[in-house]
Formats: sequence, structure tokens, C-alpha cells
Amino acid sequence: MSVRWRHALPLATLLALSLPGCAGADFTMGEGRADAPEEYGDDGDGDGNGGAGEDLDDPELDDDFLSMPPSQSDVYVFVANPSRDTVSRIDVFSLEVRTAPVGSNPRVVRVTDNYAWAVVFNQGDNTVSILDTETLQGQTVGVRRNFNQMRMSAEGDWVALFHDRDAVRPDDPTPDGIQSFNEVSFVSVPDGEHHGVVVGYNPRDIKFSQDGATAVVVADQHLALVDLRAESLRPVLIPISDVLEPPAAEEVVLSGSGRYAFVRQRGADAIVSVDLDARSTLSLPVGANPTDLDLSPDGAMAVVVSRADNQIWIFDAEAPELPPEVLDLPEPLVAGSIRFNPDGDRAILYTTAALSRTFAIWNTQTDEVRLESLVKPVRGMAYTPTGDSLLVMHTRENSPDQLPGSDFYNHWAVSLLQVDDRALLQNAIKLPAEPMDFANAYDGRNGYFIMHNEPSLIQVDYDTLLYDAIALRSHPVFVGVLPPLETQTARPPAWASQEHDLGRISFFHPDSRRVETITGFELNNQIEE
Amino acid sequence: MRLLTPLLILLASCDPDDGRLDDGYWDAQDVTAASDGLYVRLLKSGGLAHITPEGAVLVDVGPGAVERVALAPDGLTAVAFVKRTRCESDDPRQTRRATYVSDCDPSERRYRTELLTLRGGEIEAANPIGTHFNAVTFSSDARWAIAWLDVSQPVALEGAGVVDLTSVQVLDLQAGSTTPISVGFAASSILFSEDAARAVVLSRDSVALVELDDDSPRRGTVFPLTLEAGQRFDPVGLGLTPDGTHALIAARGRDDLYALRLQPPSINLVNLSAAPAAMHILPPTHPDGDRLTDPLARDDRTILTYRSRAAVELVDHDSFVVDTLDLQSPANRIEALERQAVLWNDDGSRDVFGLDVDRLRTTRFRLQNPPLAVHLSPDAQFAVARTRASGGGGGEGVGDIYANNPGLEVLDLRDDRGRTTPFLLEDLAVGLAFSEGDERLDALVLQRNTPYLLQLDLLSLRQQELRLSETPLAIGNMPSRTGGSWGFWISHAAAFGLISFYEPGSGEITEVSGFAALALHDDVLLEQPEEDR
Repeated sequence: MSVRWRHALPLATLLALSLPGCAGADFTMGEGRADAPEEYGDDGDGDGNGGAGEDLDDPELDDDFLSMPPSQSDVYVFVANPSRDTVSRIDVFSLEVRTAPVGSNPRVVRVTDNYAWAVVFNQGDNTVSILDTETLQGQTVGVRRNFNQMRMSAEGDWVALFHDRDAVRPDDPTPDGIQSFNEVSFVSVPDGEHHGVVVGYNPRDIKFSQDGATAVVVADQHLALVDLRAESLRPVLIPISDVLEPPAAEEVVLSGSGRYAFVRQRGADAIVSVDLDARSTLSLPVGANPTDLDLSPDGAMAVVVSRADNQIWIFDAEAPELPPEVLDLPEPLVAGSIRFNPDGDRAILYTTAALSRTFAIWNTQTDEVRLESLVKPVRGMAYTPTGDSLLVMHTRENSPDQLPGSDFYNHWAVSLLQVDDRALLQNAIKLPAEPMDFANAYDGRNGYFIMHNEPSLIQVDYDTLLYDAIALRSHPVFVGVLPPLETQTARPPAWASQEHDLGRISFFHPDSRRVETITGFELNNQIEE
Repeated sequence: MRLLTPLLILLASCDPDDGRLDDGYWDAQDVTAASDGLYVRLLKSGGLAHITPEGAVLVDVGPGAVERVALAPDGLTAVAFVKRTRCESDDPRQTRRATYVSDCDPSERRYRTELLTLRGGEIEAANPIGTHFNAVTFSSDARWAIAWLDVSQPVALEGAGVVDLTSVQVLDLQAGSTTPISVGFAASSILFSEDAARAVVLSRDSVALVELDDDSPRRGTVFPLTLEAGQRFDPVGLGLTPDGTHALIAARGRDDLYALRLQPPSINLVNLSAAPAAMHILPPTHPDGDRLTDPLARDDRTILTYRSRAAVELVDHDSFVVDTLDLQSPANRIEALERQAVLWNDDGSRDVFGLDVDRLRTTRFRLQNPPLAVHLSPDAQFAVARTRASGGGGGEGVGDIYANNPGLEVLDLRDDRGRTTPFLLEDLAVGLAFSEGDERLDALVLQRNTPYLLQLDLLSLRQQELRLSETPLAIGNMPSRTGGSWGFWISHAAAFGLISFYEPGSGEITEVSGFAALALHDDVLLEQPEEDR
């Protein structure tokens, strides 16, 4: 049984400011979908089990593997070729490959939501290339130096680039001695106009409003608001911390209306609500060690998971000053992360910082919290696009109650779950290697994932919870699924890029089960006509 | 039989084993058979003889040496590479006195090469080409030819001046024009599209298209085959898919088949199970209609075999899906005729495999001895393997007899029972041709050091010996102007030339001899200066 109670807010000065809701596509370099998961509290005996000293002060692993947007349009897949300073565009249906030169060391390609533009961040020469996806013609624009992150607004009208100190990779270009940690570059995609601005020290993330008119840059001490409609971009700084060494801002979400921004800081027992219209802040206590902050799909609720207190704090996202509702979570659940289903009437609660096999399903209408058990601890969980199923990525490490020699002991695994109000149907699948990347079909019927050094693409069926392995020619690197095309009746293909010195990508057509592979597409940019 | 009495009688040693007469006047293996007669080079004089059953005549190629002759796909047009030498001495008197190449100091010799177009023994055109070119490839309509430097053949660069190893020379044999075109370093294979609209040139690390459709040859798209500078391609096979949309390349040491789509241009590598040893493109069952455009009806394939893997792979030309059929042993050679193919190995294996492309099945034939060559009959119902003695037969059993003797084996491809009929020969079979007649299908076999032609009916397996006047060295078809052939030519070990023409229908053998001494000199004539001609 759960208890819900109201918590009184302290008084605070409110500033007036308006900001629409947030959206947008992100790319973060440095986290990497193939990064090894954190090592959980090893007790030193080498058995992979967590010891008694698991540190629940560790942050949750934000393995948002299901929402990593692929570099694709409705018919094209774009692949950056860092060693050739090019981007290859592959037509999924004709298998035609065209390659365009871009700047030095292109690290990421992002396609706008209307599929009109492909934007490439060239980390080697601090430029952004903007290409027409049909003609591959475009321009390359210089940005400020030494960035490693790029965010795109929802409509794709803007990209923003910044340096995230926590996302530095060993193979990043070495800064040439002069480096700022306060700068952000905004580039207008349609016309390629660049705006360099100074924001708070050490920016952590950038969010865009739904209408793309405003950007919010969150740093440890300040929020910076940038009006993207202005001719000259000038940030407005809003302090969110008054200490000399502020805690790291781990997360920011924008309310549905865009008026409020909520910032979760590492180690703080409160979140900061920022009224972007009034430009005022309000500290909202949320219990000990809040580890996740999420907005319900309708934007009405801002929910904080306080792991140490095993509570969730529910705020009115458009009226954060109102007392929150607090829900105590039942034991033995340890909850540090939350994920809503697409309808928002359910949410899952789990932890990735402890080797626990228990998770919970929260009925947001009735506040019922139902506990369920998995075969292994959780590395990440998410609802499928229809919300009828769940996909769970497990850790290789074992929970303390797992017996040596049991089926999943010391193995990687994934679980497919079908949830209804009565029962949980699950298919737990033992894997030979670490799952690296995942993508869902838009119709929610299938998902696809790949594993480290395993030459196969795994298709999962969310209706039957069954899986199929599709053989690939070489080890896969990334996976994606194309959106449905009005001119095509067949379900769109999934794709998997693979290791090959000349480039290799395979397309799997789910209806015919045919696999088409293009190898050598990096040669295509050298074709002389 | 006609004899031409030579003016000079020389004794020359003859090695009947390969037909090459040491310091001889002609090479019995170097015969080019056109539908209107044979062309034979006269080695000492540099001349060219045109031989028919009616006799032999000297082709007036002018002063110079015919270095090679090639036949166009039309079976009628031949081209001759003629290297002409001038002597440019500082002493004009010396220049005038020099008649033959040997009269001129090597340092004073100047060279040029012409490509002569021949029909019926007559010169129809003469086109200058680079002196270094030693190979020519023709379009199927014989309108276009490309002269190029084949480094796998003997290369003579003296007098060639500054040589551009990235260029070939495109000849319009109708218009008589030549166009140099840069195609990439060290061309190694060239083929033309069926419609002669373009040529595909494979060089060390790239493939270049030469566009021919607007009467002005020009270089088209160039496809790179590697991103590594200096990496070279040693081709195992180069071909065009029957619909002309893709060029396919298999290379030694690479387990990828390069599929180059010509329009719009793109490159795709089809992963194979190993580095191929042989490649062949099989045509569709029906080349017309929808067979080539309907992916479901299309059945043309590329077949590949491997030295290191006991398998044959078939690649379709629509999606480039690879089907793998296992074999009992590797096969590194492919013999094919239309859609029939046999696979064999030239490194000692006694296995030969028949390949049924439509049913994706293979039939194993086990020979008595390793094959030297495998020949498909014109109707593709049989294959004939020329075998060598494998040795090691120390006993007196049947197996030992076969092991110690060369032979011939007839493979019946009409069913999948893998039946062979072995024959022991007197000596190694050095030449083979097929003759089709009413209710007969003959294999005509030449054996080393044996003065007869073995005629073996593949249907009845009855044999007949056709006596010849001299030891034969080579045999070939005499192409007919309407397709097929009307008979066979047989060259013999005769110092001054002997060719027999055999017409199976009548059984008549006509000999023509002495043609090697047609030229009245045994040295190559110098080209005289313009003012002295």
C-alpha cells in the first residue's frame, strides 16, 4: 500500500519569465551507446555480485537507449566518415550511395524532423556542415572552438554546440592552448548564420522550446535564456545556485507550456524551479538524493525520484509552487529512475545504481504501485512506442540473490515484458555479448538491437515477445529503423552499420525478411564523373 | 596439296613438343584463324602470310615486323601490330645503304608502330599507335578496338620514348581514327559492353569507363577500388552483367566481389566466403523480354570458385545475394558454355564438378588422372578432359596403368550420375577441337609426337585415326562467316610451314606448305626515309 501526502514549500522570490515547452533532438559525444556500464559495488571477490557496500549515492545510469535518434530521413541513412571528411547518404530503397565532402573529422550527423537538412558537426575544424538531403549541396559554417556536444531544436531550425567537460573522449582533438568553458554556438540551419554567445560556466545541457523560439542553456550556476528570434542573440542569465562551488546541474526539463524549467543538481536535496517568464527561481525540497527528474507525457507533472528516501515527489509542472504530492514506495523496491509510458497513465520505477531485480509499475491514476521481479539487475528500461510492452537491458553483474550456475548468472541479458493490470508476461533472453544499441520500429511492433562483436541483428516482436537473429557480415556498430513512407506499403527496414574499412551497412526488410548489404560505400565519394 | 618451293633451304631444329622452331621461320602455335583464312607471322622477315586451302599469299604489310595478330569477335576482321624501324645515321650514305634492321646500329634505330586492319588478307586501314602497346581488345561489332600495354605479356619499350602508362588508345576501325585516353595506371583487363556503347578498363587500382556512344571516345566515370595508395588489384575476373548495368570484378587475395553500378555510379562489395580463384558470368536462360528486368524471373548469375575453399558460389545480379554450394574438393577453374559450367582444379585434384545452375546442384566426376584442360562440347552435353599421367603407379593393376599414362576422359553431363569414360593415349593430348555432324559429335584430338588426328565420337565412343603427313602441333576451328565453323586447321612441325585443312563433312584434308619462306629475306626490312620512298 502506498501513501501520498502533501509537502509544504518554503517561500521564495519569484521572477517573471516565459518559456515554451521543450523538445529537440540531442547528440552527446562521450557517453556513447557502447560505453561499458558502471561497475557496481564490487565486493572484491570477483564474482560479479555486488557487495554489501553498494554506494547508493552514485548517479543513475541514464542509458536512454531507446530515444537515441538515428541519422536518417524517411528514405536515406546518413553515415559520417571521420577518416575521409565525408558524409555518405544511402538510399535505403535503391541502395544508391552518394557522398559529400564536409569539414574535418565529422563526428555526428543529424537530420531535421522535416528531413530537409542534414547537419554535420565537424569536430576537427570546428565547423558545422549543413546539407540539403536531396542534393547534398550546402555550406560549412565555422563555430566556436573545442566543442563536443550538439543539440538540435524540434523543427530543426537551430543547432547548438557546447563543450561538456564530462563528455570528453580520449580521441578528441587536443585544445590548442586557448579554451573557453563558457561559450555556446548557435547556428541557424536554413541560412547557416552563426551566433556565438557566452553563458554560464561549464554548460551541461541545452533545451529548446517546442516552437524553437527559445533555448535554455543550463550550467552549474546559471540558466541562460536565449531568444532565438532576436537578430542578435543575447543570453539572459538566471542564477540557480548561490554557492561559490555549485553542485553540478545533472538534468533540466522544461514544462509543457515552456514557462518553467526544473533543474536537478547532483547531491542536492532540492530541485530548482525556474520561472522563465518572471526570471525567478524557487528551491523545491524533494527528499534525500533525488536521482531522476521527468515530465509526464502531457507535461502536467514534474516527477522527482528520491532514491535515498524511496519516494517520488509529484509537482504540478505549471504551478510548481503548489505543495507536491509525495508517494512512499514499498520495500524492497529501490527506485532511482522513472519512465512514463506514452499515455502517461503508467510509469516504471527502477534503479541502475544498485544490483536489484525489483522494479515497480506505478498507476498514475490510482497511485497503485505494483512490484515485479526480473531475472537480473537493470541497466536500462523503457516502454515501447505503443506503451504495451517494456524492454529491459540487464547488467552482466548479478544481484546478491542470484545463485552461481543459474541461467543468467554472469551473462548479459534482455527481457521483453508485456504489462497489464493483472499480470506480467516476460521473455528473458540470455545474450552472448553486451547489447550496444537499440532502435524501435515506429509502429511499435518490433525492436532491434545489436551486441558487441556479435555479427547479428536481433529483432524482437513486442506482440509475441519472441526474437529472431539476423546474420550480418561483420560486427555491427549502430542500428536504426526508418520511419514509414506513404508511398510504401511494406514495413520500413531496419538498418545496421558495421565495421568495415570501406564502410558497410545492412538493411533488413521485416516483411520479406530480406537482408541487403552495401559494402564499400566509402569508396563512393572517390568516384569521378 | 600445294607446295611452295622455298628459295633458301635451311635446316632448323624442331622441338615438336611446343611447335616452336628454334630460330625458325614460323610458330605453329601462333595461328590466327579468321573466317576467310589463317594469318601466320613470318618470324625472320617480319612478314605475314594469309593461308587458305587454295594456297598462301604474302600480305603486303610494308617494311617492318608483324609482332602480333588479333582477331575481332566478328571472326573476319584481324588487326596486325607492325613495328616499323627507320635508321637515322649521322652519315646519310650509311642511312641509304642500310636495308635491313641488322644493318643499322641499335643506337640509330627509330621506331613507330601501326595497327593494320585486315580482311581477306588485304589491308583496309592503318592506324598509328604507341610503340609500347602489345594488346588489343575489340568491341563485339568490331567497330572499336582499344590498344593497351599488357604487362603480363612481353613488353618492349625500346624506341617507345616517354611512355604514359596510364593511357590506352581507342581506335575507331570504321573511321580510322585513334584517340588516346587516360584510364589509370597499368591497365590489366578491358571489355566492351554488348552494345559497344562503352568499354570498361580495369587498372591497378581503379576502373574507368570509356564512353563511345557519341563517336568521340572520352573517359567517363572512374571508380576507385581501394582507398589505400599503392594497393594493386590482380584481377581474377572482370565482366559485365547481361543487362549491362553492373561491372563485376573479382581480385586475387580479396574475398569481395566488386559490383560497380554504372548508372548512377556506385560501388558495392559483395562479401564472398574466400578469395576467388575463378569467375564466370552466366547468361540468362532467355536474354529477351522480362528475364533481365523482372527480379523474380531473372536467372543470370556470376559463379565463383576458390582455391582455398571447397565450394562454388553463385551471385544473382539483382540483389547480389550469394548462394553457396559445397564441393567435395576445391575447384580453381571454370569452363562454361552458355549456362552449363564445369569446375575443376589444375593443381592435381582428380575431381571435376558439373554445375546445374537452375537446380543449384553439383555432380562430381572422378577422373583417373588429374586434368590438364577441360573442354565443353558445343552442345554442352559432354566435357572432355585432357589428363596427364599422375605417376606413382608401380603395380600392374588398371589404376596403375592409368596413373602411368596420359589420357582423355569423356564426362557425360546429360545426367547427374557422374559417369566418365577414360581413354589411354599414346602421348599427351596437346590439342582438341569439336566437330558436330549428323548424329555425331566428335572430339578431334592431337597427341604429341603422333602423326594422326584422333577422331572420337562422343555419342558412340567409336574412334578413328586420320593420318597426317607430319606430326601435328596445334588444331583450331575455321570459323564460318555465318557462325559456327566449316572445318579445322592443323599446324605441323615443318620448318617452312605446313597447315592442313580438315573438312569433316567430306573427310577431305588439304595441305598448304612452304609459306614460311614466302618472304625472300630473313631479316626485317627498314623503313626508308620519306624522300627515298
